[in-house]
Amino acid sequence: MQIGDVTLLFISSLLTAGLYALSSYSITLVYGVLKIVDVSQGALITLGAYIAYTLKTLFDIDPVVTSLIAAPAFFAYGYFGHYEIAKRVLEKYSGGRVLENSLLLFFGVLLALTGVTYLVWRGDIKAVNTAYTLAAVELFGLRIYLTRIVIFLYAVMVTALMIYLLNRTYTGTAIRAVSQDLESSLACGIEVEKMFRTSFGIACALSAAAGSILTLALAFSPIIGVEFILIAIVVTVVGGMGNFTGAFLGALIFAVVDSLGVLIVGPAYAKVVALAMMVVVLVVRPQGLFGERGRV
Amino acid sequence: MKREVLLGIVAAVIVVAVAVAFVVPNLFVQGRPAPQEIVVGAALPMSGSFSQIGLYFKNGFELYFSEVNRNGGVYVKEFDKRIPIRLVVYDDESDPTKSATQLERLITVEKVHLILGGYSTPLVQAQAPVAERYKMPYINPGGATSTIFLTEDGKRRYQYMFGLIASIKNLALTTIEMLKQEIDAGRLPKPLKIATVNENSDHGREYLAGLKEGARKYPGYFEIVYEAFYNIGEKDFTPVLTAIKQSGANAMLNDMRLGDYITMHRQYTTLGLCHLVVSYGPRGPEGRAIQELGTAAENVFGVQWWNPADPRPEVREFNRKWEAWVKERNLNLPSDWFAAISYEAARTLVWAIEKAGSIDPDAVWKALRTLDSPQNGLKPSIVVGGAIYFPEESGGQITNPFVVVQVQDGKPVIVYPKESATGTFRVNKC
Repeated sequence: MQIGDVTLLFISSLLTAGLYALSSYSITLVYGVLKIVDVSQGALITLGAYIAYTLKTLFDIDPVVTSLIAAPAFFAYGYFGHYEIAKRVLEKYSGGRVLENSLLLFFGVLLALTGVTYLVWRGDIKAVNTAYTLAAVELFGLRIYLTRIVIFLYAVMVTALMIYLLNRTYTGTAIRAVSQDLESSLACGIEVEKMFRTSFGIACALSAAAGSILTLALAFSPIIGVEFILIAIVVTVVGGMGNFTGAFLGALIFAVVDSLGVLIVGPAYAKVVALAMMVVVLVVRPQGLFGERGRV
Repeated sequence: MKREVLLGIVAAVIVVAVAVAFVVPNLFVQGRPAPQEIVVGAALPMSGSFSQIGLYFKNGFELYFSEVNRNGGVYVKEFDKRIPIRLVVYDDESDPTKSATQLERLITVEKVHLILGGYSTPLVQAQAPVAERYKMPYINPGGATSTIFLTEDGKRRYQYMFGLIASIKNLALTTIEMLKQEIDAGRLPKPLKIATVNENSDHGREYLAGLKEGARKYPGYFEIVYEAFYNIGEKDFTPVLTAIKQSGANAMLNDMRLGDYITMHRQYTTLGLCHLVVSYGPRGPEGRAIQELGTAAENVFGVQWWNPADPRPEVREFNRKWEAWVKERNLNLPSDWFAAISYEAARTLVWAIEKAGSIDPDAVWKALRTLDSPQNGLKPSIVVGGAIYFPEESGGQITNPFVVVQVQDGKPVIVYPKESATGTFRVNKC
């Protein structure tokens, strides 16, 4: 294999990692703060994709712009709606088994919201076509997908924004405090309930934005969110549950291993290599490669 | 004497009993009242992944039944009258498990007289044992994989299965036949070096098997230089495309789902790859793909069971009826193979009822079994080849030809076979 092809593969993996990272942030945040795995974020990714498709078809709005419109709307849904669903059921019925019950609850929400998507948009394949869908950037003689560059830069910006939000603002500091020590946070006067709501709001906004953005690169159907949420779980486990930088690096490692896997064992079994990596990480370092327990 | 009389009485009783046993049921059958209507059941994917196709099938069946009912219904000799026919659809939600349950409910609870098949291969695979268990003839318009029809040792898998779309292996063989014609005409190099990436499923494996069989059939014509399977829903095809580039292939023949085709071909085009011929199996010339890929779809060809651009008059007539039907119902379902084949499935069932002169499933099954070759087939038909037949050697699956459709100047053009062609095949200039 020529050096150019190897470089192209690496760059392509890097760009695809942006896609995986974006789809994993909502799970990362919700787990970091509430210690629950919200698989229903997959359905919100799907809804984000379909909203992008609808706005592009009806009003010719670019998915990047749609992501900025959808994010506040989904923040409101997460703050007022999604959290209410989680809170009521978890408090009332969990009996200390929050993680297990959250999986059951959110799996149900995932199925219900996916069903709504089927009802509204049906199950056939959709794709969004923009002026730059087939455009490439020439770099040292290599042609690189412009759409994936856009997605990658978007992911980098979201990562930076989240790191800033969590480390440099009062809300972020409060969220981190809640995630690390709930009782001390209460004693310090932090509005814990509000921080939970805000976390859900941000997670839902991130999912909708990720869904809108992925339409730049992929054709999709109502199961796209389910596919991405499975990848997101792998990425967050590898990177470290509840850690944004870890999720980004986990996505990068997953994408590179996946690409190398295609070359070594073929595309049908490449994901097996990537999943085996997750198992190894779980055994050797259960908190993930870059994770610290309880850190957002 | 007394003993002889007694024996005589016993013998007479036996004779009368036997006579009654044979005659009374016949009297009963002859006296059976005709049903108010013939009820046909179908478990279709009206929601879930295949809901659009389920809608096509429902409308295809209903269109034909409406034509029959306009003429007073199906003539059933057993009752010597025309009986209206009605479709009952249960939604299987595109789920194989539910598909089998819903079909069983149609037979046992709804007590439909006869059934029609569903879509797609996994759902048909789930429904087939149910039809077999209840001895219901199953006209299958939506499952093509050979494993539905034949066992590993080449024997018929289901006695009650009648397949209306030819196998995926035949699809690949049609591709090979068409390309051989182009090689013979000097428009393609010999040997043609093929790279092939196929979905990791029975569908994809059968396509590859067909390509290999075709390559073996014409030694020196074809060389498969790269082959791989991918998992459905792949997000990044760059590694595969890099491997294809490395292989030195000048033809790329894949078998893919629509979503994967759009994703991969966008990446293929962006990376600036070029092959003399490019195909994605049955995919390629769909309106949605042309719309989403634009000029990138140019010269991509697909091998299809049917295409509305077929110039035969009966196809044009079908298109006219279909367009009027969907317009009346405000449905956005342009004419497609789903429409044509489901329409033909309903027509075949009605033909079999009339041929049997009965709505008894066994009699209908026997009538369908007579359609065992192209010569004995149901003719004319809008299916490619013009006849519907279910040969025993293919397990009851039709073996009619496919049409090769190529995107030319943004429109689908039939380029093979000659009798259906509306244009000539174009080779990419790389």
